[in-house]
Amino acid sequence: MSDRTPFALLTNGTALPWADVPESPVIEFVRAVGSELDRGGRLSSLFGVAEGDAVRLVAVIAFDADSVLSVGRSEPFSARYPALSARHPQAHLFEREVWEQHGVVPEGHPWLKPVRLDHGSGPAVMDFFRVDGREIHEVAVGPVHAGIIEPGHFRFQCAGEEVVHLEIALGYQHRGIEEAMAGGPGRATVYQMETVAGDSTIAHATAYAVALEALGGTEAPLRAQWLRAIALELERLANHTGDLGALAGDVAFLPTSSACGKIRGDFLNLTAILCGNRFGRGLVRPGGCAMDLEPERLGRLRERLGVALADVDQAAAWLWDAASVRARFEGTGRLDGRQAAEIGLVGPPARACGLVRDGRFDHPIGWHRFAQVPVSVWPDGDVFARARVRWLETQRSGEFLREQLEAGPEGDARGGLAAAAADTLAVALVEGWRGEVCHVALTDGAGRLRRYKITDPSFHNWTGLALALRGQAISDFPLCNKSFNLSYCGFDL
Amino acid sequence: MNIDITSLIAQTALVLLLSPLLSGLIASLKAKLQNRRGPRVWQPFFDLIKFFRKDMVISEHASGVFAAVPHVVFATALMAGLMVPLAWVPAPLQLFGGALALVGLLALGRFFLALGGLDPGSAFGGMGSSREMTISAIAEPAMMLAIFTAAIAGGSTNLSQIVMAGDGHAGRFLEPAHTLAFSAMFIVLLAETGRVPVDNPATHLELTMIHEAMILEYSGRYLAMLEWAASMKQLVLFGLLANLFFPFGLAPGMLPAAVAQGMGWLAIKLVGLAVAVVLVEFTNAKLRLFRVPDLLGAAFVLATLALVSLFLFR
Repeated sequence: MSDRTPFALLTNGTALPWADVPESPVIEFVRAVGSELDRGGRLSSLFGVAEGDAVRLVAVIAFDADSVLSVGRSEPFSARYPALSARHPQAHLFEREVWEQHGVVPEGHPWLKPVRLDHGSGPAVMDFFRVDGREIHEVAVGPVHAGIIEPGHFRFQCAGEEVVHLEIALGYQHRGIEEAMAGGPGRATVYQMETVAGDSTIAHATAYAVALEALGGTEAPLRAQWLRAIALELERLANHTGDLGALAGDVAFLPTSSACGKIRGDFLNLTAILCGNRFGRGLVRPGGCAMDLEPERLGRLRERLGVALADVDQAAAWLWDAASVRARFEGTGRLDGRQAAEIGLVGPPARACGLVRDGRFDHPIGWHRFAQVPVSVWPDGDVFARARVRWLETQRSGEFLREQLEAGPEGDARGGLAAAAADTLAVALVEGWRGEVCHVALTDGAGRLRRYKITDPSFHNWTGLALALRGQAISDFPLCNKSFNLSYCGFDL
Repeated sequence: MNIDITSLIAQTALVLLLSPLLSGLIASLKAKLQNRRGPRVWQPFFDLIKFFRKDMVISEHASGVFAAVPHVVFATALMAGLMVPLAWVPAPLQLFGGALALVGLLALGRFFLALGGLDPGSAFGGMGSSREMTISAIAEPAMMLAIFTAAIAGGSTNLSQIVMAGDGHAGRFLEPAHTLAFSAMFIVLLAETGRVPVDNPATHLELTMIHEAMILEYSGRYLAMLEWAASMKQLVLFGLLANLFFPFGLAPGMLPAAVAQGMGWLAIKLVGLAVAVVLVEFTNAKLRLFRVPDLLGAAFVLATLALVSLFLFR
């Protein structure tokens, strides 16, 4: 990391006065972001901030190896600007989103269409990319699916059984969460944050809490940070276990499929021991945690954790021992590391392409600063690798919990929250089970939220799924989809 | 062709009633292995009754073929069921060609099923039909060769005569021709009945379906007929496998005591085969679609070897 950066540097979970964020004309700003990305940065978030009729772009770029974030903003502008996506594909969805929300056109964007809305209402089902040819047929799947999953529309261009191109249209669950934050935080805000993506309650609530704490210049008590870390890893265990089971279910491998469904419930119940709710609702609050873990429940948690970890060990062993499963997983839905880096993949799918990229390690906040989890990486980029990374993370989260539950810090879990500073920008990255959850908060002159930007890992990763499907059999789509297991509502916001 | 009316009525009832029970047995065994309580064995009957009482929703793009398909598929499956000796010999229906007619009937049913998948013009149905045809193009020759092996040993292509000729030669199962043909036929059985590792009958993922994709547009009465036909086809293939390769315990006529004994043996053979199928399903993942031809190719090679070894080790 050189000091040539034109942007302001900060670490994860800290705030910066809005005036100290370097400002440049939009053309220079785009060029500067491009050169930051060229230097090995990764676009964590890019969004617009309305300034009257004009708009400013704000970029948050993560330098994983240096554990530092750089933030920059453009001067207010309107109408158009040269697209960053032309050279940096990882910006393509962000630029579409800015166009959709603020109406500024990124010139030279290869595929400019709405992200969540179609002409202002309803989901973005329109103008799909089409492949011509007599042999090509189009398959439309969704938004209503046969399983119990969220709504999304998938448009395949197929040559026989082979997928030539896949386009994914989402937005069915757009609830206006970011808009609802303006002028906040209100009484409902923390509940909204817990349901940005219901399966990542802890990750989103923690990111929100950290952002508000950074704005107020305080930090949660150590005890609360410890509890958050435990809850985060329990969330990871439950979801990774569920994913391994679902992957087994997709290839009709029944032993692991049925066992993991049950063990996932066991992990969810551990979260319930912690806070009374299986999905971790009501635990993380700005300033601290709403409840503590007394010794009796701690003992119960530790005991049942051991049982569940042993069970998942066995269920996973069946999966890895089955040659038929291996044959099905290996080589399916392959992404190479270069592609993954180009599109800015995060979370287990990125680590399954050999990218060493884990927020708990690269940008640690809270308890993860004191107790680290090794980054789990697998090189192949296929379904097998994504399953394998999940399994490695399951084991390592288990180890982490076993260790941390032995001795937590003393003190009160509840803490106070100072009033948010005026005209300040705060960034919080949390490595949820699905990948990097990025919350950026910007306050106005009265210390109320002026802009709140949420970037769910799914926002980065849906493109990865579309690319992984190229040249694959269409019958492998459900398996590939499950191996990414992205959030629809986290994307739709 | 002389038809024994008692035998005809009895076997029709047997095929109609036993086939959903066999499907229920497999589903129940599968659930038990997963530590689930699972559906009761007779659950498929309730499902059929439910479907028969429901209204049908038919795509506006569907033609008359769509309505003809369930009837043809049902009729061919039932006729095939009357040709295979199940609990007694001879089977009530003995068309010219015997085994060939049986394979032909199943192919006719499949042809119409594929048409039914294509007719409403949905993407899933078309994919299902094309996959079914690809698979059956390889599975059918393997099945023919396996049956021919038994036919040559029995000196006839008439299924009842093959079974009768084999009765009392229980030790013959250990002959290489017999074992190879049985293995080939078992793989064909998995493919033809749409079971793992070829197809997953329990899946809800349209993009991976084969048999289920073709009947995706059907509902109500037509769906009931197709589901029933699928169970009957399953029973036909189970019965064929059971009696061609384990030809003992069949009643030599319609005497009540002998028939009861024959039914007992049939139940034992079917349960045995069901357990084998469920174990395969439970311990294997579904194959990648493009690998299915490899498996069926293996079945074809096994069947060819069976035929060759029949002459070599005679």
